[in-house]
Amino acid sequence: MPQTSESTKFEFNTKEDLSLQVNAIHSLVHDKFNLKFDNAGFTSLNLFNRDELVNLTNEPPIVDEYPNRFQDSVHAVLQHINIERKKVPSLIPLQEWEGYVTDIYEDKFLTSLIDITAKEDVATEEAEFDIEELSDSDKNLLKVGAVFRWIIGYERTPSGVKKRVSQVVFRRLPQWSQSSIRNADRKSKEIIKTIKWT
Amino acid sequence: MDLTDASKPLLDEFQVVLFGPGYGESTLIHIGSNKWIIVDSCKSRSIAGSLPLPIEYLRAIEVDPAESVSLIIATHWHDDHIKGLAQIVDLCPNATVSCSIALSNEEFIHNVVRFESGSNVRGGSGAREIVGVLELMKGRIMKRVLSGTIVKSFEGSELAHNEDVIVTALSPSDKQVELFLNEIAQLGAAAGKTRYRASQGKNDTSVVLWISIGSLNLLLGADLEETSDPLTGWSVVLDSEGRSTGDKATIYKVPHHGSITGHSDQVWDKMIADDSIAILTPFNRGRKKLPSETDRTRLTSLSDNTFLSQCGTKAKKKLRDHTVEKTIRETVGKLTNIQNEPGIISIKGNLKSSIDEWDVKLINGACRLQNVV
Repeated sequence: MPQTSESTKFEFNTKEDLSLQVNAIHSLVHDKFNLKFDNAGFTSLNLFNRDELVNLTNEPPIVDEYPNRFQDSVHAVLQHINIERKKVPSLIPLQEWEGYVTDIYEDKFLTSLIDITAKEDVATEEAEFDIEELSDSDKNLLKVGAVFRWIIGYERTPSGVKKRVSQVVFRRLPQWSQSSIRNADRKSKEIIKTIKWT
Repeated sequence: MDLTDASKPLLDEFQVVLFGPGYGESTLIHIGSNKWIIVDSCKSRSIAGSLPLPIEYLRAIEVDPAESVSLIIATHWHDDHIKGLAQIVDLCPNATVSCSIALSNEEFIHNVVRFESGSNVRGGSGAREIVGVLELMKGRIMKRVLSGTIVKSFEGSELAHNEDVIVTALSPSDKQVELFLNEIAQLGAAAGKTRYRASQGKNDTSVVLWISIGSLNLLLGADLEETSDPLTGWSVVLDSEGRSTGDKATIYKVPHHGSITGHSDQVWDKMIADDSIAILTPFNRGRKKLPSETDRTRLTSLSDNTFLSQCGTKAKKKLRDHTVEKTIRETVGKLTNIQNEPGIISIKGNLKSSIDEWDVKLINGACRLQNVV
């Protein structure tokens, strides 16, 4: 397997550059590590470095949010994949949802679920999870509106042991940056100005 | 959706059509002479790319929304309540669009645009519809309403039945708007904060509407809830300057899916005619399904003619692999399919006829509430 440090250099000075490079990065990772950027790819990558790898899923990254962070993360990601893939179990998803939290009460949280496996784009199901089942880091992310992935599948350990798993992982969505807020506010001011309010 | 039972009203007839539950609920009103009003929006959960139901209905009865919809009113802002509203605004370019004054607030608009800009959350930012509406309103007139505002009036001389039509907002109050904006300020779409999906808070800006078509009055209760504060909730409606104290409504869209929190004895006593029709949509999400058994008993005791837009047709459980099913059971117990098909209640009649002569059609699972109790 090639060393990631020898891989293509990514240079992006503008947002457009970065957008173009995203596809190249996807292809590179796919070619070199035979990881697909489908649901399975997301899951496998997710195991390595969840905070950064969210950016490399099927969903287009919000490129104007964190170009430097994204650039830095690419090498980190590839190195992680190279080093870690041998010792980290792989996950074969059977069913995946993206969900968002709609209510939190006592020891449970209520969620709306979008069935990714069925390629749906609106929530069609609801489920109630135990807060206790979340990892400590995910508990800190729990709030109404928080977005997560729920994956049911088989995990295979490096030693070949196969077991059934159910994983709930909260997505680390990017922060609003100063520039994204400025752009959004410019847009909203324009909207406010052009509507004829009575 | 099967709309073969849908029929076009005569020019001198009124019609009230309630859609729900789907994504949101919506009311479509014919005020005469092929002029229509749409309140909020509703989309079927099961058909991707489908039209908003009021538009689908109008097309089924061969009415062109672009020509015939005169007024669109948004009483909510969150995607889950008004799915398809931007499409309605787009397809009805001649309509006046109206919303609560709270939704014209600069801070509110900044917040929802921040949520929507650059969002890559599957299923949307939660603010996609309202931002879509605002974007489509560039160069168009948007009327802001508060308790007591006349949203729009139509001269009787323009209508086949010769009766004036007046649409009046009975809420929100100043205090409701203030509470809503405080809540919006807490949404926290600010630099350095982690993104999330915008969620509807407790304080909506429900626009309760009083529509008079000659001597026929309609009260559309939106999602307004009763509170202990006389400056909010139904107390405001009862005291509203826009309300003519002698008049009573013959058609009442019951607020908040028939929940006790939306109930006011005084409203039934002072604002609803003894011989009236009450209509409502169920709410099948969350922990508390509405209307509850107690709600149903209360509502049927208040009106002999109470209709629910969806009474059965429970969404079928999705079929999945045995291993997946087993793991779902072990993790969350069960999944609830919230893809219930929306039903439709249609009430149509002549202004001079009595309730008994009106044509009530129950389509796609709607029923008389007494039959459920």
